[in-house]
Amino acid sequence: MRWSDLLRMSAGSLKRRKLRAFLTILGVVIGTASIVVMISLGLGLQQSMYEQMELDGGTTGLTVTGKSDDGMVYSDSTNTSGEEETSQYITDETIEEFKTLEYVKSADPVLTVSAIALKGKYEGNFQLYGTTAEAMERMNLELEPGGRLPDPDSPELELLFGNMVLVDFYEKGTGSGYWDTGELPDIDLEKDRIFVILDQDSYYQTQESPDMGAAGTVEDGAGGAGGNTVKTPKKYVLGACGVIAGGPDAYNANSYYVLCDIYKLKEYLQKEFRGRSIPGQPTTQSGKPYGRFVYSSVSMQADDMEHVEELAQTIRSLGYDVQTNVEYINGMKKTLGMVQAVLGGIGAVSLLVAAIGIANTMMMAIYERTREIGVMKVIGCSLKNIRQLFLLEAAFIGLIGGIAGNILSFIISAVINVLVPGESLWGTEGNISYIPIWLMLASMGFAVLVGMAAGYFPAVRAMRLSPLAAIRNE
Amino acid sequence: MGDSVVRALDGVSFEIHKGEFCAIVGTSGSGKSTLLNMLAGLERPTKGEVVINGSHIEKMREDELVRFRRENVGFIFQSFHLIGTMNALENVALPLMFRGEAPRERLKKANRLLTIVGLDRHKKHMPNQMSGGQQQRVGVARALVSDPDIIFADEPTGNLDSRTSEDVMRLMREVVREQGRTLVMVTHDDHLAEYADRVFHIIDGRIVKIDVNTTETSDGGERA
Repeated sequence: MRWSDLLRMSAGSLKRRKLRAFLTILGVVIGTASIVVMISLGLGLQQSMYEQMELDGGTTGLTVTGKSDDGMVYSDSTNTSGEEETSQYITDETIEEFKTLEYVKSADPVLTVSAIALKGKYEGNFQLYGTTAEAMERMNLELEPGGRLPDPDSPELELLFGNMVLVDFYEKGTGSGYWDTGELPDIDLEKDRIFVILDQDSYYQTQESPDMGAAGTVEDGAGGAGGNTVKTPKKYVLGACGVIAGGPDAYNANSYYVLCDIYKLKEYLQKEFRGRSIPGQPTTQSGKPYGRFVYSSVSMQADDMEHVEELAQTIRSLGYDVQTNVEYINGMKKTLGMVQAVLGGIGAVSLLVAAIGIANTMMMAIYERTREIGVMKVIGCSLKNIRQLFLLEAAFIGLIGGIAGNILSFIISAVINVLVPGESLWGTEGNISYIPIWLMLASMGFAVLVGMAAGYFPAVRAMRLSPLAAIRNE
Repeated sequence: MGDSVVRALDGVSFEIHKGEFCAIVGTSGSGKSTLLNMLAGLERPTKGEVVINGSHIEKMREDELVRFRRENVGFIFQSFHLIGTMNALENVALPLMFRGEAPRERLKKANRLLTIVGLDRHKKHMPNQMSGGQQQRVGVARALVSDPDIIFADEPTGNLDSRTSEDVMRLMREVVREQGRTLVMVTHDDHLAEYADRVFHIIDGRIVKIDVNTTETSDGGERA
């Protein structure tokens, strides 16, 4: 038989008993809807967790640091540089090398430098976080209206302030800041231009401020920074190009940073510390600057969450330190898997009941149509076709139920999302019920499969019916 | 010692020629239906062989039997056994659908056969909208549509009144003659058997008599 004929015949026989078909399908609708809704809750949870993790640095991100350079501002050249001279610094070549590794989507240098900001009566410390324009693009930063990412071609260093930078500012006279007074300094980061000092040591020396760390000055001397005479540090007047959205209470991975273009930052540093060693840069035994410019770390993205661990291993074997969210991700995955299995299992029970309903309906259909099946066999319908007819009928029940069930789940999901906002449940934004396309397709496929599985034994039974039953006269 | 072997058929042996109209006549319980079922491959003989067109029916598996029936056998039932959800045309085309013929082709053939059996005006009628005689005509058309080598008819007029029975019998004989088909009919009615070329009388599972009707005298229609 042709497929078109098979389809038409089985659909036709379904239409014959409309109420019974409807009730059977209703069972499948409820079964499918309960599975989909349950899993969608699990997926909603997963999504909010991923979003949460995105704030903590993403699921595919790796942070690679050199072995010896721990990113301290002051380098202990005398003790370590002897044996660490060949150690793994992150230079431009390293970045290029990383880019050629498998699973790497991107590798961008990161340079973090502490700096001091001055504005009116306020003073603040912050970390300048220099990276490439592409990397910033990828961070998907949410900026306050009017803001933009730093332009790498701009003549001066453009700053993108994290939304919590101001929290670390304090009044010069009293030394009290946000945490003491609960009030933010009166600085409009977007509009005001502020003084930025890169050479902190010199600044503190000239200030001879009592509140500065004693260790700083001592080590400065030991480190042998180029100039012996205290030189007044240059104050750069810099403006912001944007501020990260969120205000002082919404934490995200970049809240405390001031982002800027890495190459611009490098230029500024090299200019500021001309002839001296730049803080954070490794030095040779004699205290001279290392030949190449060394970055603090590499921010890498793997192409997939699954490959993060493998990639991390590869880089470790090259002699670098790698930090990933893998541990966290794995733990979370396990929890999520369990939650989803439980939720899906609850839904599956009702689909199982629906499957029994399908089997029952198909059995009834076969009893009813014993004669018809027999006649069909006598006049030449092959056994395979008979089995296909009944399997298709059961599959139709599953398919229609699956489609209607998905429509129902969309409605239920929408209602849940409207009634219960995500924040109240998981603490982050986003819907608590989320139905992706694959779930729709999979659930429909599953419903069809369940229908066919439930229809299999009835179908085989129909196939085995004796054709004699048909022509035997009643 | 209560076990006694009942033989529905015992030592039956005969040949049917191509293009012949045979009738198997017997009272109920004589074994005539069993004989037909075995000829059509619906029941298996415990012993012996059934050969149609050189094929050994009794050795075939069930799927082979179905294929054999699909290709070589037409069937006319006592209670018509039309599919209730299909109209006359679709019912006639059904055996061709099982063969996988395209809808256009098979409906054309079915159409032609319905014209032959005189149901030009009832092609779109459902079985429950037709009389018994009309339904059996559809049944005859369905048996013929697949160009079978042999047609089996099991009490084809059993559910019809005598007048309609005569009509249907005449139709069957005409069509069989014109198209040169082989027809094997089972009936308990000696009178209807007179339409056949040869009549096998069967009693208690044995063929007791074979009548050969000469063509002219066997025209039952004129006697009615």
